[in-house]
Amino acid sequence: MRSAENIEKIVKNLNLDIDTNPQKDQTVLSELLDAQKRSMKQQSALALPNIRRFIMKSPMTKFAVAAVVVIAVLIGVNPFSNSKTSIVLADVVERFESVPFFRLTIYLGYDNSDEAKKVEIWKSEDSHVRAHEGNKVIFADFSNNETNIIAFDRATKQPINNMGYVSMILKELCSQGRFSLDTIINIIPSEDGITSVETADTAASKETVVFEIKHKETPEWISIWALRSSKLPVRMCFHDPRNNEHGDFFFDYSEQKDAKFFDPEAFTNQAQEQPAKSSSENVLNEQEIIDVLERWTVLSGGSFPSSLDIQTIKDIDPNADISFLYNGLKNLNGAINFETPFATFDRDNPPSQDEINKYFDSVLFVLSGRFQEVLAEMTDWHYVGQGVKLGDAYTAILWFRPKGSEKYRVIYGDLSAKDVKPENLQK
Amino acid sequence: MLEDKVLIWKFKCGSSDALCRIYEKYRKDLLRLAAILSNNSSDAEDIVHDVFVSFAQSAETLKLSGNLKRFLLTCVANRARNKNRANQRRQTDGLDEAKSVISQSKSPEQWMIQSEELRRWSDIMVQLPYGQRETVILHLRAGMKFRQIAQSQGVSVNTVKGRYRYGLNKLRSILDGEVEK
Repeated sequence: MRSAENIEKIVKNLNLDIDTNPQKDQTVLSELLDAQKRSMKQQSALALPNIRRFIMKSPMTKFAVAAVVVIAVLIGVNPFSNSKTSIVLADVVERFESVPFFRLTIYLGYDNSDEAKKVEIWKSEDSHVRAHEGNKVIFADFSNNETNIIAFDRATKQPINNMGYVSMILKELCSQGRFSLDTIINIIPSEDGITSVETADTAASKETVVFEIKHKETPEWISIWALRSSKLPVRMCFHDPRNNEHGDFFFDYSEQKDAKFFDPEAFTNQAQEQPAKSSSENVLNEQEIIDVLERWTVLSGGSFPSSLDIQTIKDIDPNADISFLYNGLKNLNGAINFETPFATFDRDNPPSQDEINKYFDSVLFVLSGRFQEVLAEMTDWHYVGQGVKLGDAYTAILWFRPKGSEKYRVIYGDLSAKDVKPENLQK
Repeated sequence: MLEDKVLIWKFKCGSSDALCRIYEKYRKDLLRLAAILSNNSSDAEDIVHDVFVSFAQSAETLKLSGNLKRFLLTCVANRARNKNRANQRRQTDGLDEAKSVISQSKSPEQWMIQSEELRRWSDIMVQLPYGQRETVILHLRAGMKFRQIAQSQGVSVNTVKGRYRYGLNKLRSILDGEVEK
């Protein structure tokens, strides 16, 4: 005789395998895409898509506002019981809003995957925001009620569709016209329930306090580390055990960017000025190196390759993500006017695996050829990236001296770049 | 599930990539649930197909702030319930005297390929009254709370708890009976 618990366990742990017929999958998917297209056409006949209109109409926006009210009440009534300096999360949220500028670096990924998506967001003193997500550069303006979000391709500087993590985060923030921590917190849980806030056992640190935010009904959790003295948040991370999704947010308050950095016009004008610059100007080339390195590393499984030559580039899995290859190619095509059938690749009508294999050598050629070409313009370059994980902000992977420059440019595992004097280079 | 939030947002902006990803991510979960609730492959395929089609058409009207997977599973459960009611009505009215034949064979047109274990459990679960079957599966396999199931079924939480208890008892006697055989 089995107990009720036993039955529950059996049903819960059943391995009910299921597979689908790929042909039928394609048929259903095409039908769905048709249905979506028809539905979108009907809607666009009424009004053209408008990001601002969407932002203001979005039920997610309304949810965010409602959730913020709930969490504001919650965090206000949860005192920090064991504190040496009494801090509640509300203090941290309030303090964060008073910070004139900051840089937020976000790493998003899954536990079982080496690949982490890196997102960077800078906020200026006058409430302008610039963000980098993959090949996108996104600008947002919180300085008045008319919030705008615009995205550009980093390489071509052309406006592009601004959908992605950053845009979603910014959209939520836009709904309140301010960059607030509680909104970021509320974007993360997948349920519109109430979260509870607890202060973790902080005996280990006199400097920091840790808040643990849990959802009542789902297993997701968020931790926030804040400095006791300044009440500023320095790190936030979340984890969803259901699919092992996790994110790490690092706050930095030390670097203030100038107004030009937040100006989309300055960004696009930079593109127009670019052809006039001599090839020894390192800005575009450095960005190309970083872009190629990032794609190469992601396609290689998340660790930097052992060397930068055609042999290691050939280790890339030919079955790698098509769109990722395509985007990389598109950028490089712009630079060297190289054409492959992928240049006209239509997402709704993707090439077959045979076609991909056929042109894969061309892809390798473009990647390696352009990379060598760009590196040749640098002097005294050294690559030491073997085995370094993408996202490692502390390990230098490549350094070179741009022509005519006294200093070296050093690129780190998180693909950030810094000027370093020759005498300060790591031995 | 930050990824799902981005997918919903992209989908609402008209992204076909997002729709493809949602389809790829959840189609098996939905087919599994539909198969076990309906115990009929073609009904299950119809249910999931219809759920996805109406989802694809709902970009503008979709109001979803919660969990995408649970939303889709609830849609499947609702459609499976309606289908079950319609089947029962047909049988009571004598319009469909032939017993519904469970499609076991794999035909080229078939979408879902079930494992032996899934078939076996569909056959076991079908012996439970529909309300109990749905409650047990949604709670144990889809991870839904009794409150959420009650909302979806339009009954009280106590009714759902009762269905769950009776469902487990019935399941226990079926499984014990299997062992005795």
